[in-house]
Amino acid sequence: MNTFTRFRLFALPFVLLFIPAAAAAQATTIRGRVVTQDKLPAVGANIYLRDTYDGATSDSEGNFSFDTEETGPQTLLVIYLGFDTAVQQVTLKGGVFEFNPVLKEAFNEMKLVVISAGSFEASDEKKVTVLKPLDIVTTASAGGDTYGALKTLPGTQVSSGDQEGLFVRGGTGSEAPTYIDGLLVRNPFFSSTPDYAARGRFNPFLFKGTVFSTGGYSALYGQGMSSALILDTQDLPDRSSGSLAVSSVGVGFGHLKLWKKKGRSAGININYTNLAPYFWLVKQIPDFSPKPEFVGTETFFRQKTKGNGMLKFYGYYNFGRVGFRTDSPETGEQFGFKLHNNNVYTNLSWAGLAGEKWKINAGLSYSYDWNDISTSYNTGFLAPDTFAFRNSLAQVRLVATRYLGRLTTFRFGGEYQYGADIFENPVFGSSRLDDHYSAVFAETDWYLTTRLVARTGLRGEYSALLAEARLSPRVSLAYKLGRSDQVSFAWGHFYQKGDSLLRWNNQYAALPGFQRAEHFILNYQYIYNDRTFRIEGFYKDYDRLVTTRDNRLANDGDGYAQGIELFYRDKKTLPAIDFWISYSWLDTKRRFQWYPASAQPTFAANHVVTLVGKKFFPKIRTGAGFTYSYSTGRPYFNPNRPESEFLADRTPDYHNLSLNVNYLTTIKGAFTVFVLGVQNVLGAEQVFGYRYSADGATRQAITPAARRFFFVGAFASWGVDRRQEIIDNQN
Amino acid sequence: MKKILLIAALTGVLASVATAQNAKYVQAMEKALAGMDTLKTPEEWLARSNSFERIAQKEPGEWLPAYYTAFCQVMVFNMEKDQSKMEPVCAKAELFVHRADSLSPNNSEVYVLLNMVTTLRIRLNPMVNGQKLGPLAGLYLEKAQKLDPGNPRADMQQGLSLYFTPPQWGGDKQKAVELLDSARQKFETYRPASSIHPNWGKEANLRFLEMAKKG
Repeated sequence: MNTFTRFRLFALPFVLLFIPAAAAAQATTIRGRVVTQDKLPAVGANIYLRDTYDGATSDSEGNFSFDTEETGPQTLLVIYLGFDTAVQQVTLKGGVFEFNPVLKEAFNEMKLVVISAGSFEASDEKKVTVLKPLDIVTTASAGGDTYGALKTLPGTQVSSGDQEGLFVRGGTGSEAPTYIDGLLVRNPFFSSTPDYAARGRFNPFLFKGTVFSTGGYSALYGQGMSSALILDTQDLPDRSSGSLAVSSVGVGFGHLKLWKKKGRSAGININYTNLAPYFWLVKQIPDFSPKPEFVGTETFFRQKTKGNGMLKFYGYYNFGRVGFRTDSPETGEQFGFKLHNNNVYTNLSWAGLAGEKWKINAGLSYSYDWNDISTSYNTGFLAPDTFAFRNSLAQVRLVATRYLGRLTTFRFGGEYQYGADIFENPVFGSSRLDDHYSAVFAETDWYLTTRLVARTGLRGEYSALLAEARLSPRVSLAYKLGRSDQVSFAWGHFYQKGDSLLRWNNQYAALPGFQRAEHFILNYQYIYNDRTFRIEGFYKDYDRLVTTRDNRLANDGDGYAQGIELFYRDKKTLPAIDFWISYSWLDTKRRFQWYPASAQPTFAANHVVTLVGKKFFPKIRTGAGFTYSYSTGRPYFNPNRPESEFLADRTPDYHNLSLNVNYLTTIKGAFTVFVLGVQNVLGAEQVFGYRYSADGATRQAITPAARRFFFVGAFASWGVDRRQEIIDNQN
Repeated sequence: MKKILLIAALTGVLASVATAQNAKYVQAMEKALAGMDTLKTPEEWLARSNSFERIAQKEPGEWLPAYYTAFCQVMVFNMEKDQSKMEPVCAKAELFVHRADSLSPNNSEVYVLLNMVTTLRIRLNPMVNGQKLGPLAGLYLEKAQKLDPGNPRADMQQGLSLYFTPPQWGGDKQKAVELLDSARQKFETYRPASSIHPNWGKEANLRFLEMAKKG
């Protein structure tokens, strides 16, 4: 080894060590100003050279400056929360390097335009929603019923206490269908007695997301001339849990088990409702016998599958019975009514990804509803009579979603429903209607920019029973005006089969075809910092409505509905108070069913106002809320009027003030909520219409069975102790 | 022989470069940590967060820069008033605390911070997240105490949590005082593993203890 080599070896470390030091001679100052695309200074942005410690934070003017000893090609980064990271390749040679980046706002859900015309959404997962799922159960007038909460939104009627369903923008209750995980629910309400509305069957806690469309809805759904209520069931729970409910109307318990590692959960709920004790305490008119009594069970199964998928099963069975006798001194009429109902509802669905660009939603559902009814009149020619109404619906649905680019999506699919309606009566005999209904649909959300979206859809429907096919085009547009507000427009055709009950009597030889509504909706929405304002105007044209005059069914009815609706929600202005106010103005006329002339229908009031307020007192863990609903009178049928004055009368205005108080606590480790609720606290008289005697000389008001409704309950839930499991799963 | 010498020399070189790098890392961290107890405005905390984030991207294998980035974001969150800006701050804190957790699993300090970050998520939407994440936040603290019973910050956070929780929800002011006092004693003798390891909370704990004693 010669000296030179030896020197080289020894020198190597020194040389290596000196390389960075030598470079230090050429320090570069990087300075400049960071602004956003709106030319505002970006305060607190992080500007640095990749893979070095060198960088700085921009000041209140967006200015920054830092020195670096790095030279040659480098990467400059600017990181600023809410904006896309700016990346710049630079070559540093010492001296001063000027860098003035302009930051582009990052894409996020808050800034993305969404189609809002006709649509209200409640979701925890999405940020820009008007409601949260919890709002549905904490709204005073709702009484824990999803439909009750939706009646605080504009576009719905509030004074429909005599019949169930959502009466949306001049439509009947049957024009507002409910879907669970994409599948139509044939009997979403408990079977009801005449003149008394029933509640929705399904517990609001079942659902993680609710979309309530008051018009102009997606081509994926059909058979609703007014609206669609789209409910999505919960995924896997956070933990295993048990629950117990005790209230003034019944008891219930449930158990839900989670196998976290297997991605699986299963559960059961059982409840028993009996209003006899309550009706004994709070007098009801008429006399209910038997008192309303229900036994219900629910079963759940959820399993994670490959492709980030989720398989869900939901099974529901309920038995109920109720009856009443009216003894009307005004009309001299005695009417008895008894109902036994059995209801089965099942829903099996799978949603998951197929590759990176496809999502599949598949579903199967079967439901069965059986009503045995017996009636008796003292006056009429109808002797004690028995009826059986049964319906069943089997359906299958498949939707494929293709992601095109970052936001644009294309959806298409089809559904098939086999429905049977059976009517049995000793006098009329039995009759049966079977329908094979099928539909295909396709829809694209075109995001032209993050500020402009167009949704175009087409739905084709065919009913074997009606032997008719129809094609409905639908279009929605939304444009984001600024950071918090947007305008949205929707138009579309919506077909619906005639109300099946109308077709029971065999006297109608021919069945009518699809009825049609055409919607035009214009919407402006502003959502910022816990304040939401919406204004929406609509026009609806009805065509081919089914009429039943002259002993024949025909598609010769028509009508229109138009209106303006306002919604304002504010969680900010008043300290710790959350309130919203809805106002709906509706102008509508129809000629349909038995109507001899075009008139404002009996279920439509012109002005509706609801005011909802909620406040939570954290110190005493108590929440309190109220709902005040007001509606102008509804038209009612007066047989003494000539045809030219058909439905010219109006019921008195409707008022309803409801209160609720929730107290949250823990009892032996169980999360417990005590609930107290009162409907119509002030005892305002609510008249939904009048029943006239056969000669029209006397009448009796149709009112709720009692002025007020009181509810007291306690709901407890406890997590099965798997604390170590939770900790382990965090690692 | 030549080869061995060469390898030995090169190893030495690499080791010295590594040491130099490590020294640079510690120096950068020390600079970012200097005077952190005097910060008052959200802008100051944000600037510190940026410093730690820069170090975190330079040293992707170190848990401390990620830990401090998340910690600074918690402080920014606490001073932020605009609701619409709070969620992204919380999300950033979550991102970095989980990075710290994956770089240094079963670390008592990280678990304390996991508890603090989870609390932010609850505060964003107490009605929805309270019942869902509340138990998890508690479990993080339990595990922090189990992993290092000598960690005063675990006792301090536990004490604060008991202080601010209403009694019917398991809050206990008496027990809060005990825990804060236990934290005080632990702070007296606490020696961080190095100049850049977590060493915050001693003065704050004394203030909390005074507050808790008043009830």
